[in-house]
Amino acid sequence: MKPVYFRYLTLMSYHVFLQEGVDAAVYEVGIGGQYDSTNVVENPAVTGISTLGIDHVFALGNTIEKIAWHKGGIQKKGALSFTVKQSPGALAVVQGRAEERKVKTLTILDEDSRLAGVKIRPDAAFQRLNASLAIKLAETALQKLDPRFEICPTLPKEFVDGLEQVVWRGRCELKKEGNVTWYLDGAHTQDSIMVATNWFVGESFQKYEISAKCIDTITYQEQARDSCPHFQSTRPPRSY
Amino acid sequence: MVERVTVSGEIHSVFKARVNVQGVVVAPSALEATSTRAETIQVQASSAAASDNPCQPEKLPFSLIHQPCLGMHAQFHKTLRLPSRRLFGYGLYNQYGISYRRFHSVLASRSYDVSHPPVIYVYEQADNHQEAVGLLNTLQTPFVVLKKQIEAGIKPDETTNEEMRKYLDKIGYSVHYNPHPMAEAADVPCSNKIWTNSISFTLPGLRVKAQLAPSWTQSCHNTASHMISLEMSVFSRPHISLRFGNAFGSTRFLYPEIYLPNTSLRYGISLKRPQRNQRSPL
Repeated sequence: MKPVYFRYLTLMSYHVFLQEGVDAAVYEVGIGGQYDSTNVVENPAVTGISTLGIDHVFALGNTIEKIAWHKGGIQKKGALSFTVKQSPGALAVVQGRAEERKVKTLTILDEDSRLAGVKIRPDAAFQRLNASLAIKLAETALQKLDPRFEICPTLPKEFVDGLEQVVWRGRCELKKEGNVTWYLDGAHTQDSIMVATNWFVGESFQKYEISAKCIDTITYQEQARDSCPHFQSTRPPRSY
Repeated sequence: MVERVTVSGEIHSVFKARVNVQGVVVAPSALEATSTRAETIQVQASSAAASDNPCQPEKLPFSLIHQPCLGMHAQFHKTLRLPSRRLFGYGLYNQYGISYRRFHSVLASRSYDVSHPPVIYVYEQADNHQEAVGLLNTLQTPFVVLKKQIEAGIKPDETTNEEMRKYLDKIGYSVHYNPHPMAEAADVPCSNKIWTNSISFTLPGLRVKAQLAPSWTQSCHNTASHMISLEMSVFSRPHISLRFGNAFGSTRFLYPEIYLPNTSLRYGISLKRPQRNQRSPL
């Protein structure tokens, strides 16, 4: 019995992280959650579910509720769970799964008010919501790691620096080469293509006031996905 | 389906070690879905590697280099040259390209016995758009594999978690659930040799959320460093990469102290560590 590719990478991560003796590990699921190869950690310090989208429909199902069932499967008995605002159907499923799996608490997060003044990139509502989730996960983990850690009424400088200074190559990245500016981002679902498009529009149109007719777009699509047929419907709007 | 490639030059660990490798790599091409062959990857490494290596070399405790798993697609097309920064040039640590980031960040993250380094060093450079697309396709499970799975109606189910536990067991780790970890806190001494915490979060759909992982770890590190020693790792999807560099520190943090020596927190995987240099049958 040999592991498939993603399971192989997951096994490698367990091995490397454990051999390195890490104190904490952040695991992003691959496909779904319930049956994902990362879902063997029985008692995680905390789990988080960010905004759900339609993806991997073959394996997870073709509705947001079916997908939410899989995502809700990462929640664990006795562990804290956090999520953000979801569509009503998805949220109901996640809440149901939380009850079923006897999580300690499931908290639905709104935007963290302490993010006021923090420069989140891209400066969009969804990303501020994501940042709020990241903050809560970090705080919860820190409390587990050190009982002396106290949640501050204002974000610690370290949190702000982490959020503002993060560099993720190829993700919402601007790269200048002479007179050419590359806007680098990636997306593989219709939702995420829209997000990437809006980021591009926000960056390029506001700064350079260029016309949509001037834009050449190059897309790369994974072989098993069918997002590109929707691309025409997600052409950059003229206002951000 | 064995192709040869010459690897030369330095391979920089993203963490702390640096290994120089020169030699010949024989790697499997894309494996068929039904393939059960044991391919062989041979790496002849320079013994001069250890000079810059602050870590005690050790062998990888399981022989993945001898039995590439189904779906792994290390492809070697040609003799490697210095990378093209035009397409994939991300600076010193990432100048070896996208495949470098994927494999190298995992496999070469520490030093190993240089006589048998577990380095599957994939570096390709594209000379044209079509080639670039082809290289990008090497970053995912081959479509033929996915297609066969879909056609066969294979979907993940409850058996997949059990299979993962078996895999972990085969490479020397055990997973067992401790229903009341805090109840044992006073009795169980803490050791940084045990993975005491794991934080799991899912980043479905809107991929930009993955940006927050390094931000998250950076925050944890900075906030906690004055109180505890914290070592942290991030596992993300293989085609999403992290930047490891000096500007904002590494996503992984190594500290010599044992954190909170009088406190025990037990979460996640409890493991039995394999003996060093022990090879797993996987």
